[in-house]
Amino acid sequence: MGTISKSRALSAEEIKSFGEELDALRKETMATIGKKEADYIYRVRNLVRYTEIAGRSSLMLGWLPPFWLAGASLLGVSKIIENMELGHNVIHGQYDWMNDPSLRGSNYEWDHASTSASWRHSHNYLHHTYTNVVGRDRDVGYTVLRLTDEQPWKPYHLVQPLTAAALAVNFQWGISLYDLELDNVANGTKSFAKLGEDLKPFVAKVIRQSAKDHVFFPVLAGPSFLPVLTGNIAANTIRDLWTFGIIFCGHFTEDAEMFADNIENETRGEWYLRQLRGSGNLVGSRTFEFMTGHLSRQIEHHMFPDIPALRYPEMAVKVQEICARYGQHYNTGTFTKQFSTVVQRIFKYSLPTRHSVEAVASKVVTKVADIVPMPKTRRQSLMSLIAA
Amino acid sequence: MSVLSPIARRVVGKIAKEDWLDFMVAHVNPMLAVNRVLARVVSIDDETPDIKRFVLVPNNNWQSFNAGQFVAVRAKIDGIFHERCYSLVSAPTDNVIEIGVKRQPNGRVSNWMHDHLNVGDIIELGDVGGEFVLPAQLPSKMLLIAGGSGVTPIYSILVEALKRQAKLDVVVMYYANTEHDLAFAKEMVELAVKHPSLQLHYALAVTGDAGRFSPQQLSAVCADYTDRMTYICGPQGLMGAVSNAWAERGISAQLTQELFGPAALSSDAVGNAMPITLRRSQHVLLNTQPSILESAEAAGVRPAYGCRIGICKTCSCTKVSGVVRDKITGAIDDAPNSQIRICVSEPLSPVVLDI
Repeated sequence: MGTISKSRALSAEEIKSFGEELDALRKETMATIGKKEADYIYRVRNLVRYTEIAGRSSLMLGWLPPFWLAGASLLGVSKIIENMELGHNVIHGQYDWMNDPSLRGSNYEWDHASTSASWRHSHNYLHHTYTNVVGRDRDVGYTVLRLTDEQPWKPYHLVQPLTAAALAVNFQWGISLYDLELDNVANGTKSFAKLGEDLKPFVAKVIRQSAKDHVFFPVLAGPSFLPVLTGNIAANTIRDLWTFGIIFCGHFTEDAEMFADNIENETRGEWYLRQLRGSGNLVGSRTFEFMTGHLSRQIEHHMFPDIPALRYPEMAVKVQEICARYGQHYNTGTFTKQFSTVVQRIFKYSLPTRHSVEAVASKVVTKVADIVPMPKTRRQSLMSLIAA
Repeated sequence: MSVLSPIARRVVGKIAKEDWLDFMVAHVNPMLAVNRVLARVVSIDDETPDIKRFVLVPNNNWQSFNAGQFVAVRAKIDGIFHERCYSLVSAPTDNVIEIGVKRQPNGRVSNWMHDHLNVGDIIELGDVGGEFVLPAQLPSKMLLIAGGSGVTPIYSILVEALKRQAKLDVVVMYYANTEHDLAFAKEMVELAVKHPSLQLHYALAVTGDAGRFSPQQLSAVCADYTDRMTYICGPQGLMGAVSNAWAERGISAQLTQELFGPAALSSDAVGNAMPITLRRSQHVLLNTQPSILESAEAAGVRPAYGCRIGICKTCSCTKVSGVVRDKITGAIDDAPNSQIRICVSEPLSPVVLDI
């Protein structure tokens, strides 16, 4: 669909054994989850808390530029880790096995304008189940961007580079609004009654987040009201820009494929294949990977969303090996390279495009050379025969 | 931190997350917490070769209990919280908590407590529960039957009963393997000295048939047992035999039982009709479908679900008690208060879910 696949088409048996090999990898990894992962996530949470305290304290002296810079950066880093390595992964239930109620996916509330409950629905369920299925996975373009041929072009797509930039700077508010599914209310698939129900927690969370960063801490700072307020806004923006960049590289790079809405009878192997082909990885240092919440391993995350993310790099070795043997393309690259293809994609589909000819051509059975043009005389005699 | 009034506690809970507050106050004093009960181990003593007595001092969040009830111990072992229930041996009015923990052959928590828990360590306690308690109005005659480590709630009830009525006619029948396995024997002998109306009997398996339960053995020791309100706690074999004997004599109503250990595994066929209790929504339904989720839906309940294939964890909820099998991994989970994905779990025993 749209993007030409770089992966070899597999037979039904190959797909089945592809799935089985990945299932075996999953089982083998799950069996070793224990103390190491538990200690790790507690350390991550402590890091989030200590950097938040350090950042917010530093901002209290924010009239002095070095303290403001240090404070905004520390708080930004804290929010990034809380959002990605801690929040996103905990909400996936990756640490449910610890039986610690404060790290349970079903009730962890993250430091974000959107509620965890709406995220669980739109992300854990909808996005991870219908990954890159155009028409079902609303994350494809987040209802405002056109990223593939199959999405119908609308005039507002012309300015989508600007829309994307605006979304990036306000990503947390964008996601929060997006979770309300206003597009579905507009097209009638979501009732106003349901919207009404969803509005209450939405408003409560928006108020809580705003009150926290725009009122409570600034007021607490007394004379440092302004530096704390601006510092908090800067920290949230830092988090928004970073998460936007990483998340958009997940499924919108050049090689990321989109799929038609016909996955009802998808087998497990086919599910793994769709997760692989729809996702893309990022190459970077261990610190970089940590700061992406291991979404640098988007492929592994989509294949194994409930395995603690710190295990993805080690699983990736096996996943790549399996993909190589089955002739499947493993989409990875540096952040600069991958993100530049995302930007290109945003620009490309801002204009109306026709279906790619090459993608259709492979389906054509008759080779062009076999079609011989009819001589003009024969054509004319046929036409006169038909007219008669 | 019950220094805070309930109102203040709710307000604080709304402003800051409870786990964040617990984290902060723990820096000041590791025993402080907003709601959680934390307890410090003050002594550990060997009572029998495989039973140890743990005395704990709880923090201010500890609430009282009734004699005969149990408390859940939340042991964090290798990063995972495991919850097990132990009968409270101390009196409700004591300012310390005492439990007796028997080392189970493959028991994760009991072995950890025996081998790794030390004096001075802080441990988390869960809820107090159980209905193995004395009635408001004591009967004129009582019979307390204990088997092995089942003596813990029996001893607790005995102390309470004699406190309420010093001259209560009570018979204690304690079954154990050898005399080294008699726990709380010293305390019970002291009670017998103080309270002449208490009759204390031991039956040791090593002595042969006289040391094992049978209606004959019991009536030799306590001829009027059929007239007594009876409490029993012990291993499954003893409990089953006593329960049958009482049923045969039509006096089951006089028997109050407390079973230690996980519920028996039953047939695991699809639709094994195991009762599934949904605690919050007050539903009880039977397992008739391949998974708990489908059984609930067949019964007209609508639990939260997502992918229905065990990936997204939308359906993940707390299994309060019971044994389930994960259909994807085959793993059997019999721990209390653990998270399960109901779309891929099937019950192997009666199950209670916190939804």
